[in-house]
Amino acid sequence: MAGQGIERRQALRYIAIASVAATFPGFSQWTFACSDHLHGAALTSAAVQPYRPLFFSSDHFRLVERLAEMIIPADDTPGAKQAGVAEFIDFMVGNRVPVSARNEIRSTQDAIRAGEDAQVRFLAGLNWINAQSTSEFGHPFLDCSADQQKSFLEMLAYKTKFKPATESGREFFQMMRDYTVIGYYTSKIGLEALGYPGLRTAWPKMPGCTHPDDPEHAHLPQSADHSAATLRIVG
Amino acid sequence: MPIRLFDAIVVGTGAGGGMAMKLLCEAGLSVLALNSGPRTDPAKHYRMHRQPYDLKYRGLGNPLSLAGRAHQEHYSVEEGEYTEGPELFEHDVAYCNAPGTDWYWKRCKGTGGKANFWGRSSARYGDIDFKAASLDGFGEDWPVDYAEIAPWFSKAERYMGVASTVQNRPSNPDGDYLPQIPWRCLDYIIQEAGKKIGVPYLPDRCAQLTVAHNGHPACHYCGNCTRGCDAGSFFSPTWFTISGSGAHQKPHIADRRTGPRGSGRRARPGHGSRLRRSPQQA
Repeated sequence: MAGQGIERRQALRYIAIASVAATFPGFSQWTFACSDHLHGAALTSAAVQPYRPLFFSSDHFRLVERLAEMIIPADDTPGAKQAGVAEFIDFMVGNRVPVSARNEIRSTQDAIRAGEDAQVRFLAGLNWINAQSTSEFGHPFLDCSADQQKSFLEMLAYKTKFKPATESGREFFQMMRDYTVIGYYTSKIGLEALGYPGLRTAWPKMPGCTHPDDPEHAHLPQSADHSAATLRIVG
Repeated sequence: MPIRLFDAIVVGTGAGGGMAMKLLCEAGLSVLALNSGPRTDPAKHYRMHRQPYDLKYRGLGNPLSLAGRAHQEHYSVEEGEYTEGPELFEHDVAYCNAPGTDWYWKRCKGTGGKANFWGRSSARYGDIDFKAASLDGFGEDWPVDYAEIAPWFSKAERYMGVASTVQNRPSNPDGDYLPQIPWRCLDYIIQEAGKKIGVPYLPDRCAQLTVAHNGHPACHYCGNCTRGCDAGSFFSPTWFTISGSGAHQKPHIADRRTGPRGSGRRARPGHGSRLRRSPQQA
């Protein structure tokens, strides 16, 4: 429960995580093109086995997965679940990588502190969600109906629906949103959903504005055509 | 080990040292360059084309990797996983701060230094800078004026390849430029908005190759310049002054891991490395 000290069991869990994280198992939902040493056996086995959380209990992990999917649901593009956002969050929180509020981080020490802080805030926040939902609906969050879950999160997400004495829950939900959005939009699925042009890394020419005569940006100083292949001395 | 005499020693191989090394070699001198880190190898060290999902920590870096080291400023190419291995950067702060102050400066120890990852903005100084004291009463005037320095700016720009436009602003004089980097929609929109408040929005003077230049290929617009360029399409010591191009001879380099040749021992890390160049063949 929120405000409760970290149990010894949990402390041991942190120690276990540190050693597990050192031998990165690979996520089940995507591969790491960069790391040759991760190719082959590790990823093949990861692809057939369900993801085993590094940091969260399986109950907490399912809750994270549900929250993420509600934040970025599948619609005309894939949602957070398909992009493996819960795995991202578990991995980042477990490894104490601070994902949100990075502008406050000026040093390695700051980053580690923020990462440790995120671990505590995540556990407290997930417990808060379940405690609050139990007091409102009589069930932990995942056992509530879809409508109840939706109205519950709206109370945390939208200013007009805020309720008193839910500040800590709203603060957690904001962090959860940060982690979800960053997790989603750093995945291949998310970047493709966004149409991110940086997915293409070699362009024959600058993919600049193709309609400089658009009324929205009139009065151009010069043509946007710079296909000249020779050095042009203009000075 | 036989004693070898050099005409000149250059300490550091970054923006200034690299250029000094090149010019001294071209002048026919035998030059010894000292550098405190390894030889920067774009093929090995730069990971500019990696997507966040290619990186274990999505480009955010692993804060624990530097735990226990001296205070580190975040620098995108390193903690951000965009260089391979940590050896290019300094991990222990070699300077001190006044008590209660909070100032950090990360240094790239690899040859070329942080000029491998720089912002490429290459504006000229104008007389507003050289003669500042005469104009506003502060500081000291430089012993030179713009007219005297202008040909040297041109020489540097022609060597580096700087993309921009003619802008007719005495505060930031025009130079010898490659075609400008084409604008994005956003640039046009900002320019429009700037007009309404009387603020000009103009292309920077950017040392980025919009066309092939002096043996270096044109930019391929991957957008990851601050992670180093694996094609050498913007000015950096690694691709220009150190490696040489065109008529410029490639150097013989030994870094700290190599140690004095034939000595049978390794140079101690952190005690300087050697980066030797032979004089250019006539």
